[in-house]
Amino acid sequence: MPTPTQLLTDAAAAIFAATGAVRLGSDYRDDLERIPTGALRFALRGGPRAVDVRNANTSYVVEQLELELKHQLADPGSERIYTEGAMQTHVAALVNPTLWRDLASAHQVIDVPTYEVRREGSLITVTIRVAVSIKP
Amino acid sequence: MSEGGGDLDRLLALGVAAIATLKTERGIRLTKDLNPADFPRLFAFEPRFVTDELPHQRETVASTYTLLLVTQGESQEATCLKAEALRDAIRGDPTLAGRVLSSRVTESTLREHPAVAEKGVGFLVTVRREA
Repeated sequence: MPTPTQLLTDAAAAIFAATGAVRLGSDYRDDLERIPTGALRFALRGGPRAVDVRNANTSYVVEQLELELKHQLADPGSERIYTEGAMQTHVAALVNPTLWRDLASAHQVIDVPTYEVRREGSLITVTIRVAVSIKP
Repeated sequence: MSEGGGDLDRLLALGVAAIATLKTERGIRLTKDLNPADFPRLFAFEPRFVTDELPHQRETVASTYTLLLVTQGESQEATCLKAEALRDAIRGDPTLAGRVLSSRVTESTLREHPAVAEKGVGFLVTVRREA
């Protein structure tokens, strides 16, 4: 039976495959590691949010996931090279429920992925939130 | 060249572009040590740097420079026109030729005294960059 830990591992692998981003050393602190110019990194956080018992025969742990995909612009003045280029491809892949549903440990997508984007200095951060139930 | 020195040189070059007769100098001197031919003169001095933290071990650096435009024997109006030309030149190059993210005059004051032949316009110029 897959665990929430297994789901996180599967998700991290899928994110790397979809974007080429390398996972940061910390998922919760943003002051420990410098992101090289032009590089793509991600932080992935998650935890059990609920237990889905709609199916009387089986219960499913629902894992809430939050992904932050971070890109340090090569040139602070050339934001759109990324935001209208590679970022579009990355977001399209990450908001596709299929990516999450196809995780080996996933049962189904409970809340479809949503995204928001922000810029701090030359760092562009895309945040994706999705809830996935784990196979029993 | 130092980062601040490069900024100061660019600001002085903008001054020369705005005021053809301008003489420039990095640093500051007593005007009594200068000759009439040394005016109008633009001094650039007092670089000051303040940093602010950004995520992932980066920071924004706000640099503040003082420019002092000194005229001799000119009317207040003539000095004001020169000051505006300099301010417009800095406004027209908001990245200091690509050196910084932004640059602008944040304050300027004209100082004059009835017993002194020179008039001075002090400018504070703030530039921002990321490091």
